[in-house]
Amino acid sequence: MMKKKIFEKPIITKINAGVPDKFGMQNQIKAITHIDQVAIKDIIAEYGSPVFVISEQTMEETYETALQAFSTRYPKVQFAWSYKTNYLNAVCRKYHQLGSWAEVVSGFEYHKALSNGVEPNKIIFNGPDKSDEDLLLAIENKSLIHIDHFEELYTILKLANTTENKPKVAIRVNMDTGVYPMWDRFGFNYENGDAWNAINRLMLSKKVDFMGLHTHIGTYIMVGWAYGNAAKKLADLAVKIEKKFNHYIKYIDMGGGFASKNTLKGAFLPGTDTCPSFDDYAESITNALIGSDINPEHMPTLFLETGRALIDDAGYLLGSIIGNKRLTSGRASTILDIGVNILFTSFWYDHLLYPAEETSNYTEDTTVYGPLCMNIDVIRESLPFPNMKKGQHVVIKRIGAYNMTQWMQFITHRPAIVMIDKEGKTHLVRKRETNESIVNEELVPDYLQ
Amino acid sequence: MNTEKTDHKHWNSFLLSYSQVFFSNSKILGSLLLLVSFMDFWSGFFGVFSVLVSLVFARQLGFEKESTDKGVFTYNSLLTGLGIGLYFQPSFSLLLYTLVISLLVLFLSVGISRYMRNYGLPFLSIPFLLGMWMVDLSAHSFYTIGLSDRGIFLLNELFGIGGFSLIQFYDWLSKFPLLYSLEVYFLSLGAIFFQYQVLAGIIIAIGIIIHSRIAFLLSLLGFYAAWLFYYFMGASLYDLSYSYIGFNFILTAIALGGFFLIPNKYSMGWMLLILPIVVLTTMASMALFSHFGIGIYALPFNIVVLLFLYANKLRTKQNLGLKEVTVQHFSPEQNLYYSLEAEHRFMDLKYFPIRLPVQGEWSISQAHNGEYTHREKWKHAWDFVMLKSNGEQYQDLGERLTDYLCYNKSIVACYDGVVEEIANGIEDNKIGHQNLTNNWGNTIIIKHSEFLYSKYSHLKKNSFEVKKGDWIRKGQLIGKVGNSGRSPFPHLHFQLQKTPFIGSETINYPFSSYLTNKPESGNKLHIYDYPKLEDKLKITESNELLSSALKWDVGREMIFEIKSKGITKNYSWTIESDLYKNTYIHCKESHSFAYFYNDGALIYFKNFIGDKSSALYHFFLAFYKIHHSFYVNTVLNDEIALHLSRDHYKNGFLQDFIAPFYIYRRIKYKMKYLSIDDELSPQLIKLKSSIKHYKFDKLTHTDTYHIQIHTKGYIEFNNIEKDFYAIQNN
Repeated sequence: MMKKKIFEKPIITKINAGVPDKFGMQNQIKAITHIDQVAIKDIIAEYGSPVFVISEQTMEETYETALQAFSTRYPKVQFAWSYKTNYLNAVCRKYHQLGSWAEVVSGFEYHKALSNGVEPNKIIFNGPDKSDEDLLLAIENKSLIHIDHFEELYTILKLANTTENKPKVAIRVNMDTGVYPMWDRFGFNYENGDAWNAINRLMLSKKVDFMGLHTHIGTYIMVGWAYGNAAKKLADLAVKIEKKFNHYIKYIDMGGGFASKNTLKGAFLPGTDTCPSFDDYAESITNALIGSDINPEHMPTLFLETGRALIDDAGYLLGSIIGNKRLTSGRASTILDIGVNILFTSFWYDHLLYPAEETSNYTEDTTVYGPLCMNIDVIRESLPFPNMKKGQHVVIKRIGAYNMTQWMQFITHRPAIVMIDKEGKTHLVRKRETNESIVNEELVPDYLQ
Repeated sequence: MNTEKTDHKHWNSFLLSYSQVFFSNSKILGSLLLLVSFMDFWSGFFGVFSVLVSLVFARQLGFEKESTDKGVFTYNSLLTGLGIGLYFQPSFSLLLYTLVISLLVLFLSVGISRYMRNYGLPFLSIPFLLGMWMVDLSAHSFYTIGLSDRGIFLLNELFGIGGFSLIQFYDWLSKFPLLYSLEVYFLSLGAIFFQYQVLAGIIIAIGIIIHSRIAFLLSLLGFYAAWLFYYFMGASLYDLSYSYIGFNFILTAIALGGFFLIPNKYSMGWMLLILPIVVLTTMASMALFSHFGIGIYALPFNIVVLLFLYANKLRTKQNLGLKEVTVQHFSPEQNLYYSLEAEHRFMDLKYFPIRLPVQGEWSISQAHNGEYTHREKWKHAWDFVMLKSNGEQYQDLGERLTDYLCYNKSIVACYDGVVEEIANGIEDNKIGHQNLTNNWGNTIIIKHSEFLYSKYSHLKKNSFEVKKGDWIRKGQLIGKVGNSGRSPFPHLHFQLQKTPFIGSETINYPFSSYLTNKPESGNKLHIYDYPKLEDKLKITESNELLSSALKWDVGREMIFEIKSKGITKNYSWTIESDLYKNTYIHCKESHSFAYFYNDGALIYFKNFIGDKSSALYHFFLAFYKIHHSFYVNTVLNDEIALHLSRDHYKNGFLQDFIAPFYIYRRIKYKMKYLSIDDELSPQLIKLKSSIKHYKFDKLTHTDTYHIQIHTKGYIEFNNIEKDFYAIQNN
């Protein structure tokens, strides 16, 4: 029996044809009906809508690609999972299982890493804000502390007097890599001599184990060569340290900032075509290190703290159509149950939105709104999208990074997060919030009781 | 102190001059032989005199020190002196005569030894033979020297020693063939030292047993093989018992059965054929030499041993049966145990420590004797590819070269060398296509030695980072993986060869160390091994802390505080090396030496000489084999040569007797890498070595050493069972 066709309201639009390709004018958006062989409608039926989905399979594949890109070019490579990118315990533990260390930027993240079973000496403690208590704990735990500014440097030297353990430190260095804006707010500058100054103070104090050099040149860097420039400058510092102090640093940490395949807002071409691959980054970085004057017998381990490029592709956000509305200008719009409060990255990227089931061939430029009763809640200003009915499902791809940490509880509960394991089984890794989970933290003064 | 030391050395050389006669450097045997030589006082006296004369001259004239120290130049003089002392009436003129002859024999020893070295042959007792013939031919011209009648009339002698009853006993003995033959055996043994007495033979036999069970077995084998030949051929047994010639059989058997050749069933079997030859030579030379009025002494022994050794060297197939002893340990047991060990151990010594030609984890898509192209003359080659965890070599569809993980990845030199040849300019094939015209594609050949070249093929066009004639270091980037030549998909073809040409025949040559990883069993450390098909492998990285602990450079001093059985004492060991570049740890206190081999990454002990109750011996066992990389739960296995075990004398006495035929004792060594506190900057590494003793495959006991490496590479190790604790102080 033939399936009944879905009724579509007839509209009249002017022909807005681009250059036809050999398949003609087809601009149908291919539906994403399954993630790792699990049907999207089943996921939503079980866990509600909206819902975040993380594919363990994709996590592993991306990690392997990244590791392979570096380890086939450089003998000693170590990834450290950037907690702020996604610090869901399940996600972190998966990366630790794959061999990643932990890179944290706060006491909260530090303790989270500990509770995820990371050995303390495999935690890299970054960031401008580390309390004295956090620092002391990190020193005693023999974690690696990356110093961000002189005040922190002095604090560590002071704390070193109070403990048996020699702090294991590195400094964060910023430099002109040829891409702008320059991230000179973090770490010590290379060009103005602050970095060398900090190194000298640390080395001459003899109170710390000077372990390595760290940089993090920016975020969403779309060119590989910038990393090559950064690696060269760090290698120069390493050679200077070797010459002056006869000391071999243990590692060079190139940080993160690798782009995923998302398209930045305002970009002319899609990210899938313009963003460098892991191989491009790896080629620049490793060529710079291998070609440097560092003694080949004492090549430092190469640390990488890439977060976004590892997890972005593994994350999906599933939602449903709440309603459609034709705006006064005649433009089509649709309202999703996904708002900017849970899709923080919609401020940065033109996210790709896919129907979760087959739709008609016809697409129309559509504005996609979220469910919040706020004017800013726009997921996409405009994208070609087919007409979908209330209750039908949509998929947003490449949202694994930052959304599950920077999201806001606003107006409603934050959704559940589900992980699909390699066997295609789903696991709830964060429950949908309830009123209790939010209200529990609240206190009411007696007089309002 | 210094004179004491030199005195000690002279005394050693003196005793070794005696034991060398039996190819031994056992001082116990030497002392017993000295004692035996004095059973005829004057014979013994002149023997001592000859040795002293030759030793003094050898030292003063500055002949090769090591040979002098070991008594190699002086044992021939000793034999000559013994003979003179027996044959002639003692007198001052005889003393002068002996001095002259001893000097002559010394010069002959030095000269002939050098000459024979050209052929890789020993000089045995040729100097003595020549010396004795000089004596035989010249003595009657000197009027002051008179013949002695001692030793000529046996019964007189016996009467002198034991009266009439001894003669009766002697006659009674002769009636039992076995006892009779034993008697002749002992007489023959004694005859080697010109002591024609059963007692002398018995003492010498005891000395030989103490020195070497196998040598004793061989002495019996040689003697009885000859005896049976006499018996079956109807020769006169009386000749054998009466003359001095029996020792020729004994010495031949020891020399060929276990000293110059590795004692095994083949060497022993050959004795049954060789001894008749010696008998034949003896008969013939006796008949011939009687015309000249000179004795044959050890002539048959010299002729047959040298002839057989030389013939053996000329065999073109050396792999079967008889094996020459390459490094002489002056004991058949040690020669045997070393050779057994060498089969799986010292083979590594002849290899350069070559590394994998790639970085990161690679996989072998075709190994030795591969199913595609690694066949016949080119069977010892490897194809390297990179795999994803799903086992595929490519991402996406695998239609483009760049889809292949290994494409354009770095290739590094496997060892130091010079770029011998580069073929460049061949385009990469499309996936699935092969270029059979330029079979090897872009290729680089590196020369490591006159007979070792490494070849890397199918490289990417113009990816070479070096040029012909460049000196390159191990691990240096040389080019990139491509898909040129007979290569349907990108891979690196790597092989080692003896000749410098593209297309040369491959040779079977191992990688010094690499790590394989299997999901079910984890990391496995391979030492001097050959990667197999589908192995996933990567290079081993040196561990900083372990490396500093194992930095045993010559000249370094290591001080250990040893706590054992309630006593604490500091020992200082130094790393030294000898003329032949053998490196060893020397403990002055215990006069012990632990010889080790170090290829830069792997250290293993080869030998231990000295006091087996010393701390150095514990160290030798604990660190018998160790690699300077650290991967948790990897193990190194090895076997310890039996004679190096602590109680070999007690436990291995019986084993020695049958060792040429069957080994029932085994000592297995295992080093396990237990834990590391911090991979980035390790402060504490824990290792465990165990030495397991097996008898008939049954574990009899285990020695366990717990080892810790602390900051700066200081070593701590202990054996709790033996109440032994050691910790390094510097």
